[in-house]
Amino acid sequence: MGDRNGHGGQQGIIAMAAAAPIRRRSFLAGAAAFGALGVTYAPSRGWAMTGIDPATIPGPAWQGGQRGGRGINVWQDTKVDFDPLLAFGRADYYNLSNFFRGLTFLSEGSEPQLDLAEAVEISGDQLTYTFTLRDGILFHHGRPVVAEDFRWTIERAVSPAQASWVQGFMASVAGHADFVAGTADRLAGVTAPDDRTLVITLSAPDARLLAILGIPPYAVLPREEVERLGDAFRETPVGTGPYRLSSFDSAGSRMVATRFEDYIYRDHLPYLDEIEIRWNVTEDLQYLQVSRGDADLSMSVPSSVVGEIAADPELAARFSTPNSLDVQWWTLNVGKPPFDDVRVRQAINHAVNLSRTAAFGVNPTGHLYPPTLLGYADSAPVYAHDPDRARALLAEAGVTGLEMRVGVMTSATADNVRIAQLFAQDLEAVGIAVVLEQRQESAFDVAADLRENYHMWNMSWGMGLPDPSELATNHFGTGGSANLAGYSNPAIDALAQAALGITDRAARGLAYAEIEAAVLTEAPFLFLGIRPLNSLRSARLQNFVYDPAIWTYWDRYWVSDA
Amino acid sequence: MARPGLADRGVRSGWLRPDRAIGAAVVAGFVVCALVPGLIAPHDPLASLPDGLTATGAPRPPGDGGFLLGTDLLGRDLLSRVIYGARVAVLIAVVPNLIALALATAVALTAGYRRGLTETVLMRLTESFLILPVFLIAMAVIATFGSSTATIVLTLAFVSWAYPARVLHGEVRRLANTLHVEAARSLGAGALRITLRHILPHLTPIIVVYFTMNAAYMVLLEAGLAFLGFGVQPPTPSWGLMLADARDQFFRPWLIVVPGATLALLCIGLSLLGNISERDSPFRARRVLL
Repeated sequence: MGDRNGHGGQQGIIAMAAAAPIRRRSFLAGAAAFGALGVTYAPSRGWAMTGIDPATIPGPAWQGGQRGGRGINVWQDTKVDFDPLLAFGRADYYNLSNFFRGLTFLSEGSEPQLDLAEAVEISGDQLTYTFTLRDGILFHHGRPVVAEDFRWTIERAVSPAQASWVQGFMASVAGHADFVAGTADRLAGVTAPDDRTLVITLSAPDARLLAILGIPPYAVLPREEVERLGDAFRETPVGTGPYRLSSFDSAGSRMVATRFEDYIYRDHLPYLDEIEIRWNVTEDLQYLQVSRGDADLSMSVPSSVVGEIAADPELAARFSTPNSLDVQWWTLNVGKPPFDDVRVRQAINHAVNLSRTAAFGVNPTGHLYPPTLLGYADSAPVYAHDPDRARALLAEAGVTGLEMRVGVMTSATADNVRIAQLFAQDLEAVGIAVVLEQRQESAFDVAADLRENYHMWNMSWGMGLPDPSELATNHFGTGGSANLAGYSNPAIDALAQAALGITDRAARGLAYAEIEAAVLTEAPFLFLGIRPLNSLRSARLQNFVYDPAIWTYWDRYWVSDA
Repeated sequence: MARPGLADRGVRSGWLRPDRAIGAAVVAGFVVCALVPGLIAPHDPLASLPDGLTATGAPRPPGDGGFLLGTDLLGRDLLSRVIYGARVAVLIAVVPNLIALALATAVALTAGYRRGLTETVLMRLTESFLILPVFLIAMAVIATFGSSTATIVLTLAFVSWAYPARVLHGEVRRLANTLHVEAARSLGAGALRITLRHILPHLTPIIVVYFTMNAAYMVLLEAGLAFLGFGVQPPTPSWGLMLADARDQFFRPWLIVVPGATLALLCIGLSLLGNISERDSPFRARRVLL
């Protein structure tokens, strides 16, 4: 799955493109071999053939399926929002790719591959990306897609009016600062000279660009539909994806989407006639529905049933725990003494026995980065459980009789309360009294309160961009939008800034490994690990392929009883 | 001849019927648990015990590994947590209840005896409290002021004094017109003396009944708040917290049944104990002039 060393990754794209424009055929040469092995679907219905080479369809292996049937996926979120810029939950964000597609598409290992772009030419100085769009792309409402749609979509994602979480991802595009500041009407670095050509000009090389263009918030949107629908667009996704909305039942917490018959890869995908998305389904109910065959896929069955699943060979065969980009840590309030002392923060990390959290749905790596992320290194200086060392560090820092107030955000999972109690036991064993306080809100909603009243609180971050720069920019960089405790280290900021400009993937990996090591040593967090996905599929769902950034690929799943 | 004790009077009056005796025994049992949990509980309720989990890390069901009621997800003894949880339940059943009833009685006596503008103001205030959504108000207050024990106690008192005040007010108005109160007034007794010496004793049976009813209500309210994360905080043993922790544990029913049944048992005990009419109450006033 995840290939953090970057074989076949975007550095490969850049190196190839620097010599010559990339065409889909050469870009996906490896995938062609897959195509030769598989059984390509031959459409039985009468729509026009696109003539698309099946070897050029991006994403994981898809060959050999059968068309028809309905697939049902279930989620815990209590609400959904299908505006790609406003989708923050799991049920909406990880279903966006069913409705929207972009210039690139993230395959397994979060590798960007060309999607609606037929080719990309990257200038020798790596500052100009010229995309040529595929011919014949249609929106769900029937209008052909033109390059101006991409220009408008990117501009919308960056615009100050949207204030989106992805706004900063395009910071290297020429004119970004002026546009965000409102001193320019247009994002100068993105132009559409003709209907099939989109040019993105950067002010500095940015190796992340192709991956950024592959995340759902940068998928192309039809301006007239977005403007016509207004707020209703949030419940009426209109894009170019493999499925188009057929019904949305807000009160019933479910929606149904049918195959988009003018989909660009319609000769081959998707397999399913319909997908149904249900939300507001608790994790235990998800387990019951999928295990009984009433639904086809859950990505979050509760950790409490994992033992029961393991004891049943039939269920166990349908269960997997793929690594996610769902990073877990507990933020230490560096602005509140004595946590401004690095020795105290290190003591906290040494005091806690992370291995006990494994029972509560955590892969306790002790790292800052997820294992599938560029820059993750086994050699990183993670903290060993060492209560004696913790006591020594506290004594060295002159800290005695410490009482920690810990905020426990319970909105994501009840497991956080259990983990907090384990931590409290460990911390009390080294002489730190702990007062836990459950909070129903998201940490982002009560950030000021957290800083004022707590010494530590739990954080969970599902990375939208499969790149370590997201953590550096948002969480431990000075002034980062999600840096709730206000941690600041100019040396680490400088390393992160330098890493952004590195285009060689291997070199970037080393740079980000160095950054992780520095952050681990500084210990602004109690490092925990990631929350793997407890994924259970029905017996009928076939070809369950997965990626930590995109999660599911419903365009290429099929059901055995279609 | 010696004066008969409370128990003797209870038996003679028919008050100490079997159902009430059972209720009294149940409540007494929980009170003992609350007062001396360390003498009864077999383990530290906060400690994850070395043998508290199975080899696969699962909690132990009742009877397994010597744990009478089993263990929870952190390997803590459930029996010990239930016993220690009685401290929170009894505290919540008694303290905010007493505060609420004291407030209700004061409001009822003042409004019912003074009448006029004072009565109008106090009773409209009382009625305005009656229309408030109790649970939401309690959640809002605790969310604003924190979930310390003092906040929880005061919040529960704050949201539960109005109904008994409304009922007691009616009784005070009736008693204020009785002959013995008129006689006291004619003899020159002041308002304070009349309300405390000649009206309040006649409210005692109602207050006692409300105390038991309110106690069960308070315990359930606190458990509900704790279930939602607004009550006492972990790792403090609390039945509501134990229920909250078990809500996704449908393969481990004892985690739900044990605290749930305990909560139900205390509430049933309080209800049986409070099933008293004024006529057969041992607390009724002995001299009533009508």
